[in-house]
Amino acid sequence: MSITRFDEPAAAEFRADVATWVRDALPKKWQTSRASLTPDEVQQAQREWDAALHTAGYAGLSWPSEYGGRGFGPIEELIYYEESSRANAPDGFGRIGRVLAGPTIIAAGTEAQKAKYLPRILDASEIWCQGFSEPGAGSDLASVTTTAKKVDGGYLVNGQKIWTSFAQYSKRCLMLVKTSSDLPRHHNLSFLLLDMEQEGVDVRPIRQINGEEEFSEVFFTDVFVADEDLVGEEHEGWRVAMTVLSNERGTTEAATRLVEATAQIDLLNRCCASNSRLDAARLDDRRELLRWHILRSTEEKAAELDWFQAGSILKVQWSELIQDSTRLGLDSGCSVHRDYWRHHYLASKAMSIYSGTNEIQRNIITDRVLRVAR
Amino acid sequence: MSTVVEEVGTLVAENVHEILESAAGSPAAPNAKIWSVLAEGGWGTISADPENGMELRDILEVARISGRFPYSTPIVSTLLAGRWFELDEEQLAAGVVPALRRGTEIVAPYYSEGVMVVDGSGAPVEAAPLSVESFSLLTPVALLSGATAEIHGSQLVEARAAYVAVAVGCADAVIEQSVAWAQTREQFGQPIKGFQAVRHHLADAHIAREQAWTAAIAAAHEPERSARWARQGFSLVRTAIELGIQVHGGVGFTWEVGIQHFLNQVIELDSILGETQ
Repeated sequence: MSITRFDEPAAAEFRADVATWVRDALPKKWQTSRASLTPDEVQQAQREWDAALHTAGYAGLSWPSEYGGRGFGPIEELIYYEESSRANAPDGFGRIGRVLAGPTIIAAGTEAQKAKYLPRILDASEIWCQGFSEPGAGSDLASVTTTAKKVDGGYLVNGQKIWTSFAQYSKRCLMLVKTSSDLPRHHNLSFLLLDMEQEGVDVRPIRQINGEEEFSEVFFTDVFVADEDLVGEEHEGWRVAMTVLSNERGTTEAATRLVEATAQIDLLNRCCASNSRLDAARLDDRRELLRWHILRSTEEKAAELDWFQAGSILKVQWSELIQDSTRLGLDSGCSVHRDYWRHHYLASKAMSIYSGTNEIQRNIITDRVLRVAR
Repeated sequence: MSTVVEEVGTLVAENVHEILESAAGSPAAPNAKIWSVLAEGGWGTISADPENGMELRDILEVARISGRFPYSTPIVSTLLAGRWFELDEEQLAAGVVPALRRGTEIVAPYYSEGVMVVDGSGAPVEAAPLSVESFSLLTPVALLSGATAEIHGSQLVEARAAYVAVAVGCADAVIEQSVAWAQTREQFGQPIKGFQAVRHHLADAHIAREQAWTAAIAAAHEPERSARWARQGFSLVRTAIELGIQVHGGVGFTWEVGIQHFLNQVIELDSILGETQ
């Protein structure tokens, strides 16, 4: 039985358990000298964190128990994300597997796919990436042109994906490909699980405006995917992809972003924004509002009320809050934190673009919540 | 208390909505007839009996509905008064309104003949006879000349949450009206609903309205921060209504279309209940 309200005593107990565990389980080097770790040491900490999550049973909190999860609901998941972000826990490599690939396979995969993939997602022995966006298919996701041609026993994949996080570390990719040039839009795509460690897969990291290389572009040349790695029906991949995206735009991501916003706004109030107190106070109000909006949306989800609209609102809310916070930080000209704000300001520019641009989120609201036909 | 409404709140809100909607004419005036329908149906006394299990969160649901019909009945304040004070059925059926402080004045957010304006102990406020003329559409609160006492403490906190919810109802009405307008108004030979700039104004109005609803719920949970929540909630509702006016174009700026009834109510409530800076 999972928790349905934040005011249940069980919710407070669960929070205390998670907080204690996170504090004890954080990789030691991460705790003591996070800022000075080499890229290899960061990776090591991320892998240790994946392993720790699995051992303690935090890897599949909301997965059904028959697939190795805990069978909990959105409230436990939110509490976990809040507490791990609060403790500045590393972002494990297994995240895309746990949050996107696993739930999609559970919802739409075959029993064979579940048996083959789920255990290795949970223990993070196989890292996953997500192959959706393409150079010509960003906001217009349904116009992907990477093709999968039917051959004996499977498909041959050709084309290019872009903005693929963790691609250089991934064993597997969940991807959307075009399987028909005749069928109508939204019924011409299929959803495949592709083995990245084979010939014809070429991963090239992309350097971003803040100097980091979080994303890659990935080229596929005659890469084979077996029939048993098709998820859902052939040509009905769009429907499967929508399941993935509704998970991505959820309350849990907003919870981790809330923690990020909190750190920045606290710094503004404590130091940098001494000449713009009113601006900082307003950001603080918006942060508190985001916190309550997440609580409300999560309780509505747990009560199985209509929470569909929450995802788009939350995405717009957290991305614009962090962008406005980093902008104020940069504008403050604080000599102590100049580099900090430059880095976070630049990094924040991606937030209104990825996971569906904020313009797309506004389109979703007008189309599907207010139901204004075009 | 949870952020999610209980069954009783949904039920009362649906019934009150049906009755308010059946009233014809301008929403922007006290409507004694429609109040008598509500009162006779027992909807004004339902929060006074603890057995009905109606909590503040449920009253917010009713308040949001009633905001679509600004200053038409004292349903919100009567539900609050039923929760706060030992009042008999007759008093509640007449309608009860809290006295609130605005600067050096004492005001009531609704006034019609026969309603009882009460202070923090639930006693009628001693004031000069209330003048209906003081209830103008530009400043839609009644000034209580001579009054000295008002509600305070936990009552004020609950009133803040409830009146932010009323304001969210104002935004609901304006957004609905703006969506309808965008669907029929044509420019350049096509309905303006097809222009992305207009569509994004509607989306932003919706985002602001939903955030304001969160502020109302949060105000009910965090007494120490309630004035701040009220200020933020009213401000967000204003954003939603401003966008509604913009979507209407010049027509939205006219008295005839009536968006100002909603906007003025929100501005006035903010001046009474929001945090002053």
